[in-house]
Amino acid sequence: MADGANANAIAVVERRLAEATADNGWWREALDRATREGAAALPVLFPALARRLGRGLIGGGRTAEPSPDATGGEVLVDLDVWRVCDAAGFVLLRACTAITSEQAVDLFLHGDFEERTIVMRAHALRPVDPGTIALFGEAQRTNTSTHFEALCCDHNLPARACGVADFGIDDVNRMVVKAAFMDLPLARMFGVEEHANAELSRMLQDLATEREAAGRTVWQDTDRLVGLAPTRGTLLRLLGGLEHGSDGRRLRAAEALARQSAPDLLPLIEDRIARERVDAIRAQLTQLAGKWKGS
Amino acid sequence: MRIFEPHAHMFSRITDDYERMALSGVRAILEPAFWLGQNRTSVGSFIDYFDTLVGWERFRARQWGIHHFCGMALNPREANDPRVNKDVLEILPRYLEKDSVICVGEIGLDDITPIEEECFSAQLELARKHELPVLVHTPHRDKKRGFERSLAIVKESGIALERVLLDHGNEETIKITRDSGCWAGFSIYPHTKMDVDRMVTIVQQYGVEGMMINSAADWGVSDPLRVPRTCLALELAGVERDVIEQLVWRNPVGFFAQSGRFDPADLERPPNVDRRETFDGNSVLRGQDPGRY
Ligand SMILES: [Zn+2]
Repeated sequence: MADGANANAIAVVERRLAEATADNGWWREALDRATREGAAALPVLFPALARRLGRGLIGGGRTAEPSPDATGGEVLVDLDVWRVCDAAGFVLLRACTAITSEQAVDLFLHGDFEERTIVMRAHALRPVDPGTIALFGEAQRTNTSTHFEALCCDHNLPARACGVADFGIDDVNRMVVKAAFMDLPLARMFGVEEHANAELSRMLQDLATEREAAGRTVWQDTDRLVGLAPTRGTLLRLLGGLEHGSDGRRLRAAEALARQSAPDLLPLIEDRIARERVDAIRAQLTQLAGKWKGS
Repeated sequence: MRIFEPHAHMFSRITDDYERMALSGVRAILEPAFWLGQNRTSVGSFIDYFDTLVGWERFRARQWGIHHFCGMALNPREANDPRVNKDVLEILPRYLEKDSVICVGEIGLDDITPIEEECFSAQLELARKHELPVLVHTPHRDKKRGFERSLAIVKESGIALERVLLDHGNEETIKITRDSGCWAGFSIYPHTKMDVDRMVTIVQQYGVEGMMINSAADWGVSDPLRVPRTCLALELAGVERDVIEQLVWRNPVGFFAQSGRFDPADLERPPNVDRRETFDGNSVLRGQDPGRY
């Protein structure tokens, strides 16, 4: 089980949904219908979920679930963003024995705003299948942040799906760059850090350069992610970050530098330590200098 | 003056129309599904159109503080087209369950053919099943007979008559509509059919009980400001403001609230709006600063 996570996300979802739908005749009927008729019933049931069951948060925090598929990867999901209608969407999808990838995509493409959100979010707890991969394609094409976030954030589905069928590291890279473009925090994409790679670092550094040229802000997790898989230019970018006027940027650059080793550059670090006014950054740099000296 | 525009085809209008409507007091719009001026030859064209009505069009209206709702239907004209009619009826149920869909419409008769009547009845049945009110388009040609035939089909269906709006009415049809218990809609056009002056006379003669007015604005010569213009004309003719507000706000709100899909209290405030927001990557601002439009 992942650190700090409760077990059995699905059990939590089922329990909270049951509490929220006690005495709801429509929901009983809807679930019966999905069980009886399968995926063909979903297009008429999904649109009514938010209206009939509400958008109340179910809560539950970071929760784990044993792997539901052959990937073997444990599910990690933050149930604090789940609503009753999302929980119901998951349970309806599960009630249908087989859902083709066309059916999953159809629910997204012809769904209204809420339906699209529900379809995406519910997949976090489902086995990775061709429908999941097709939805990643849709998430990559949409600029509606809510829908992208529902499929890519607050759980580890992208990390879990990496390597399944056609969904490879290149797709994860494109997804992370899109998240960077939309300014979504890395911390919301569980497990993505473990997939850090030099090509992703190159893409993020290029995006950062382009943003800087346009006088715009740079994705704040750039330093962290490129620091995990340095490539050409990474070290210079991080060192440059130590002279940035923003305390946050300098701290993130210092943290990312702590993962590098470049003893030849110690004088530059020491020069910065002498002028750094923020305690936390100075402490970080001092620790780094100690490590580089020892290596 | 707050206005609920109960019949406008915004799909065919430009973004400036939303702004002008908002500036003239329009706070909510009902957009019935209709004929696009040219026949569609496959059901896919209807699907994309329906998706636009619940997606992009709703998003666009919200940028101007307007609540957008819609009706879903196979319109009477294309009901006659065997290339699409059955398939459209088949896909309607999923769209009739969407949150922003608050009526079945516009349905009814246009050329008054047997297949139109069949599709009309089938959709009245859908309205009952999905618990939605109905917006009925009545023929512009042979209006009186078309009206009577429409009413007969409505009655045959067993739908509650207070859940039916018979639209595009005139002086000839008002009495039979009222006597039936259905709601009466009047479409005010710039140069043809019902106009502002005739509407003022109707209100002076019949009052506003069970009535609403609309622009039926679309891709043709029409004016999305016909309702505000009629409000002004009514006011200048001495009709009480409260009576006008009943006609253009409380009546349509009350009628469409029968769908149970919105709370009239929500219409007291603009929909949530973030002008930098995009829809499928598309922003109505086209890169402008949201503070300066
Ligand atoms: Zn119309």
